[in-house]
Amino acid sequence: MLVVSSFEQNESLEVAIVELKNNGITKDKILAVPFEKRRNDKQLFDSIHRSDGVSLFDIAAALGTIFAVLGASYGFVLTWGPIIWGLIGCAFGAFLGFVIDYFLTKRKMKESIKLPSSFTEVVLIVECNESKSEVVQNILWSNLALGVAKVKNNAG
Amino acid sequence: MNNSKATENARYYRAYVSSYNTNIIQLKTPWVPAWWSAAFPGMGHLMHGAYTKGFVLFIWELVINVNSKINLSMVYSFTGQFDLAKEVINTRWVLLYIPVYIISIWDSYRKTVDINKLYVLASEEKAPIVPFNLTAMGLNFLDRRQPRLALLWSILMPGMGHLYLKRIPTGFFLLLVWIVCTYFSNILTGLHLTLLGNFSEATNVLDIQWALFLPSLYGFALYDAYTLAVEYNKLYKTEQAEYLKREYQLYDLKINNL
Repeated sequence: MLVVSSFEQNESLEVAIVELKNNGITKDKILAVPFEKRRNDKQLFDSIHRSDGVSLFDIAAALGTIFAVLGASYGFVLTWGPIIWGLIGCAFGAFLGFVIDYFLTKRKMKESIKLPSSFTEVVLIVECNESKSEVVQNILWSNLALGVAKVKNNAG
Repeated sequence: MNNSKATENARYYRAYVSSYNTNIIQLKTPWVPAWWSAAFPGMGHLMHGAYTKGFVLFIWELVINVNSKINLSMVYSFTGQFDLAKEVINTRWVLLYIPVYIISIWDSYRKTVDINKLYVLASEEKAPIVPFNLTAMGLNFLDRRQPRLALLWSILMPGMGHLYLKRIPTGFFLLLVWIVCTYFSNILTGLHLTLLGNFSEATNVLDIQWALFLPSLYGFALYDAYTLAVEYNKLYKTEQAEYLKREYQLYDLKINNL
């Protein structure tokens, strides 16, 4: 019997493997396949699941800082003072940078083919007896597997 | 596994995980560190974890700029008060500023170009990455962190995003410089008066020279924390994928069994 599961890359995956071994599954019955290259599906914001380094902060941070300095400087001779004008400058610069980055990134993204995205980063395959398969599945599910499936084969 | 031992036979390696810091080599567009060095000398070096140059250039900027009154003169120049701009500049100091300022920008650019090449070599060599370090003084481990959370903590207080990421030298240094500049610029009093609507008084209490350090400090703290979180996540995944391939690909999967 094979138990096939998919995981995100995180500590839970390693904990799952350790628990499998504690339940008598030997190392040579576990196959972990981390995907080499995921599709080039760049997103505008990075998250814990997905960090492709394409973000809208490069130009936004730079322009935000420049305009904050300018805004704060002119603020000394304007009515609202340097703090408000500094903040306005910062917001304006960051927005401007964001818009520039947005269109640059959009153009890049159009060049790559859009495909549906998935969080799966590792496929874990475990061979075990029919009697153990429930335990194995429970371990996988309780350690944040994204999906688990049983496959019957002759060996099981 | 000790980081120095694990990499002693490697020519290039990708990361150094100590209990104080995770230092990495990373790909960057060269103009980005160059720009941050232009905003505040030393920042481009801090981005690369080049702390010796980074800290010294940072402190150099504070000392020389404050003594030659460059920020003050900048504000007068921007607002068209050119006579005042000339008057406040301290000629005993100001010429010390220019060469080092330019070199810090140039050096950040050059360093980034070199590091980008080393990144390619180190990624090819695949020297072991040590994911965990526990010593008498602390614990550090590779992990996935939320880039947005790093950003949020930095917004609340510059340096805190770096602490979240275990980038301790940058984190506490930014916090210290932020406190110094906040104190001398009197920005918090200014903020208080601004919120009360007393704009002219708020303008008067500010120390222009010190206040102008704040935007670049703030911008850098946010940007660097965010991008580091992204890079550390990539490092975590690289290390784990290499581990899984090394340890858990012994199983001989025979599809024709099915």
